[in-house]
Amino acid sequence: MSNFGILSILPILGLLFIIWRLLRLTKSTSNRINWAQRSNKWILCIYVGVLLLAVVVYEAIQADGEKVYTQKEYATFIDENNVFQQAFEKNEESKFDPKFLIEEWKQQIEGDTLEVILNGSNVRMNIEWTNSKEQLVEAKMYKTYSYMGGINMEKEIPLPTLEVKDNQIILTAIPQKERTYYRFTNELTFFSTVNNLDSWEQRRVIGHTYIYLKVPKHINVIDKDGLQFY
Amino acid sequence: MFLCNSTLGEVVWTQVKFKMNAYLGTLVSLIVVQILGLMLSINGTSSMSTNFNNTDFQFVWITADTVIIFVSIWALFLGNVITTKGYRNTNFSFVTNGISNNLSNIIVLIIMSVFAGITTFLSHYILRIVVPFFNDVGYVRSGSIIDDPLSSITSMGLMVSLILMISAGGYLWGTLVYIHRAYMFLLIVLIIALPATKTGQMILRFIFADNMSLFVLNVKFVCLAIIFFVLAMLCSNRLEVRR
Amino acid sequence: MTVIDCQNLKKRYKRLNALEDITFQLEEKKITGLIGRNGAGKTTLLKILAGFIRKSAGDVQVFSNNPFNNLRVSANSILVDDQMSFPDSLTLADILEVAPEFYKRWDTELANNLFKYFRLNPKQLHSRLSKGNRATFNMIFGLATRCELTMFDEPTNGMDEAVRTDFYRALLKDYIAHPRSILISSHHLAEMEHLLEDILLIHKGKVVLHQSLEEVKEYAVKLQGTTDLVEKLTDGKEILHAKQLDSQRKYVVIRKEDVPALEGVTIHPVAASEVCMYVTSDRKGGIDDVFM
Repeated sequence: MSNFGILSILPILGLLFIIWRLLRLTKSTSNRINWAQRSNKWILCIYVGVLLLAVVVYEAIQADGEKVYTQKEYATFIDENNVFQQAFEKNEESKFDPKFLIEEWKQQIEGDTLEVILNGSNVRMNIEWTNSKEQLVEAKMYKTYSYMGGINMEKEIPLPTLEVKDNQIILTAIPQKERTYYRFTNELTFFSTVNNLDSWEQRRVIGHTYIYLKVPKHINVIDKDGLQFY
Repeated sequence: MFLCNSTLGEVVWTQVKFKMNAYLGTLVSLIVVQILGLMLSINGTSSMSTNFNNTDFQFVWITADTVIIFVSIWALFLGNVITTKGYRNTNFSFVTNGISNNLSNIIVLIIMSVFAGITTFLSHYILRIVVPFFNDVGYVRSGSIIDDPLSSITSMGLMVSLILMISAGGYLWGTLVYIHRAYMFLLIVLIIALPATKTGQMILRFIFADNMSLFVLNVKFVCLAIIFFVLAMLCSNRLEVRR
Repeated sequence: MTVIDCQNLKKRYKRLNALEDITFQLEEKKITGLIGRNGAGKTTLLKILAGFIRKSAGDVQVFSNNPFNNLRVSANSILVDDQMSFPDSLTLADILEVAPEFYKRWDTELANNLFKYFRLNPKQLHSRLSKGNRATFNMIFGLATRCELTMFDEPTNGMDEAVRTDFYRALLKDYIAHPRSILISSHHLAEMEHLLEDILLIHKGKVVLHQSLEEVKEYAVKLQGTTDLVEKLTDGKEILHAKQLDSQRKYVVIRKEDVPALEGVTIHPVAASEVCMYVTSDRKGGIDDVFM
């Protein structure tokens, strides 16, 4: 710790020196320049004006940006995601929140096998076996809330594509991408790193893409590696 | 013989007006310091990556931390510089006494700290606008004053009280240096001793960490500022003006 | 009413006794010259009176208050000296503008007129003024405050001859228009003799004389004549100053008493400045004796 402490002091001492020189410099320039006093007032007024303008402009820029949610809203998002997840696991389709539904397909398949092909996609899948004697397969794609630091991630990343063809369901993940965001904070992370990370955690909700299949019992569902679903 | 009787309040008020006018240049140096800090914080203070659905999200945090460090050091020297001989002598060219001089200095420091705190907070918005204009990166909407007024005011208050505390420390330091030049090294000793010794670490932890809320931290800063100011007044009230 | 009342005032610096024992009282509305040699303690005394430094012992009262750190004294007195300083961020015009806020009796008209008369540049900074101009500005500042107690410490240092004359004239005129207590320290009395009423002579931290100018002028006489005669006449008397003019003639300065007029001895009056010089002289003989 003490080693680290001393190392961290050095830049501070350097900064101390720089700012000390700066203060001396401004003092000596104001010695030389008579109009300094008048111009000082102008500089200050202009600077404050620019700052206030920046605040207003920032609000204007945001008009087409994302909404910033409060921590409470995040909590409800997380709750709703959990409710969906539980209902999904228990096959309680009636409890699915319709607002998560993105797409649905109905497909008459021939034969008694339905092949699911997952191309690198990490969707969650569940199958409800129906007692129907028909060849009709229903597929529904759901997506729960994903927000992170104010960005709606669902919008940022395209969904995996789902194709239903003959007796195949092909899910293709989107190619690997990298996105960088600049994020600003009003708070001083300097003092309360922990505090800030907490709030960061609280302001994040990560949802999933769900595929819900309704398949008549007599049809076998296999994935391309030959695994069988029951 | 007719004597003018000026009350302490009148004299302090006049001194404050006079000093605010005379020390305006220090506020310009504050702007320079802030802009310097802004330029250094343009690359962000920390970043965080998350992988989600095959996509790496990298969040770069741009905070006011660098600026506040710069401004704090500015505040230290501001508190220090107004106790120096030159400044002290100019004050005593006009009506004043030790108490009114101290009080008006303190009020000037408070006013300047408020200004510095608020502008430091707002200066961050310049980056919010500049960064997306000059960088081709995703732009995250972050809480602004209007979205989250309470936390904005809290952190503004925190900046003000931090700057005030440091300028009060600088004021006390400067007063001690005025009494004896050897105190010059006090600050350097403190900077080295505080993080290096056990007690120093305890003190630092008591002040900066272990806070239930930012409000508590705020109160601690203000209390420290008051302690520094009172000590400085006690030390300097009997001081002579060596004109 | 008494403006200044000092009783056994002492001031010690670390190794030096600047003021040994100062006792005097200053009545209001008088111009007093504070005269003394280099290092007599004039500046120290003025700084104590202005409340800038603390006394070490004794008692000092200005307007019946201890001046140190006293707001009432600060508001009603001013000390003009060459160490007066003003912020570099303010021009001379700015300083004259803020001054009325501090000094309630500030005379803006007088300040502006004097400022114009002495052709000072209003946009100039105080610290950039030449020595003479700075002294002139300080003088204007001191006069315009109209403080009940106005003190000048060597005000004419650095001023040229013309400005000095103008300064004394301005001081006198302003004093007549607005009588107040003025204390001027100087080591050359001769040039400001005409405006002084009282003289406070201090030497080595002690008050030697505090009398009116007229009294000081009458304080001593100079006897000049042949050495024998002069020595006989002044035998047993306190000799303030003596000088051998040539092998036969000599003059001696003694306290003014009834001096019998004698053939061969002429009696001359002694100027106040000379009195001050002789009274504060420690040495017997003059600088000439060093080169004998």
